[in-house]
Amino acid sequence: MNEQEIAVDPDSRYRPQRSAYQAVQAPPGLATRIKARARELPPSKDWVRVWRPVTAALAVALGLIAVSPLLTNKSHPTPGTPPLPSLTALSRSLPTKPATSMPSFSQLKSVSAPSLPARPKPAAAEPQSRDPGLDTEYLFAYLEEKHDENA
Amino acid sequence: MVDVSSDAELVRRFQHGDLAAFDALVHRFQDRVYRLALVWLYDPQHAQDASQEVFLRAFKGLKGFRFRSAPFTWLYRATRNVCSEINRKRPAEPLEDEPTDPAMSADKQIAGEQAARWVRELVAALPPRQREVVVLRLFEELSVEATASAMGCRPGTVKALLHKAMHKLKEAGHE
Repeated sequence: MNEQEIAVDPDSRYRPQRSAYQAVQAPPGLATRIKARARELPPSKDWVRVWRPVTAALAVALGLIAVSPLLTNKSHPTPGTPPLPSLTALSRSLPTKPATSMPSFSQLKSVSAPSLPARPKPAAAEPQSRDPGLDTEYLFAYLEEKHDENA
Repeated sequence: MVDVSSDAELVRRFQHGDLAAFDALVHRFQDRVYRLALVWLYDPQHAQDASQEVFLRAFKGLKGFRFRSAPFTWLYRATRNVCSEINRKRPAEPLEDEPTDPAMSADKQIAGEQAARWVRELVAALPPRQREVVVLRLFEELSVEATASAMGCRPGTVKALLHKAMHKLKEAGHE
C-alpha cells in the first residue's frame, strides 16, 4: 500500500480489534498455489490488444479513402485516368432513327376524314302505353261539357 | 527477498513480462485480500478460494491496467466481485458453523477467525455500503480518498456513510 493511503486513525475506539483484524494472515502456501496456478494459465491474447487499434486505424483510413471523392469536387481528372467522352461524341455514338419528313399544311388540308360507317339510327321509341283507367282527354271533355251545362 | 518497489512500479514491470513482479504483488497483498474475503465470506476455505481467484484475475486483468487508480483499488473491487459471486452461489451459512482450515496453525487460525468474526458481527447489521466503509476505513485504515476510489464514490459520500454507520453502531451498543 502506498504511504499516502495510510490514514490517521479514524477512530481509536476500535484500535484493539483493528490490531487483531490486521494480524490475520493468509494461510501459508496460498501465495505458492496462486503463483503456480497463474503460471498454468494460457498466454493472454496480447495480439488482440496490439491489433485492435491497428485494425481500427485501417478501417478509418479505408473509410476516408472511400468517402474522399464525394468530399472533394475534382474538376480535372487525375493523370493516368482516361478522359471522359464529350456529350457530342456520346450523341453521335447513339443509334439514329430514319428521318421522316413532316407533311405540308396544304397536304394536311387535303386530307379528308376517313369515311366512317353510318351511325345506326336509334330505334323508334315505343309508344307510351296509356293507362286505360285514366284518359285525361275524355276527362277534360266531360268536365267542359258539365261546365257548359251548368253555365 | 522483499521487493521495495511501489505498487504501480510492480504492476508496470509485470505488464512488461516480469513474473517476479507479479509474485511480489501476491506477497504484498495476499493478507489484505484474504482478510477482506474472510470478512465478506466468513469461511476460511472460501476466503482462500476467493483470494486465489482474485489474483488469477489480476494476472490476466492487470496487463491492461491504466493506472487511473491505485492497484489495491483494482484488487479490492475484484475481491468484492468474487465474494459476491461466491455468496450468490452458496446458501447462507450460520456464523457458528465455520469450517476449520487444516493448513493453518491452530493459534493463528483461531486468532484470525476471532478477529474476522468480531468485524463481521460488528458490521453485520449495517447496509452493504456502510459495511464497506467501516471495513475499509476503520479496519483497513484506508484514507477517505482511497476508500472513495475503492468504492467508486466521492469522498463526501464516504464521510456520510461512515457517519451513518457510526450512528447505527452506537445505537446497536457497539460504542
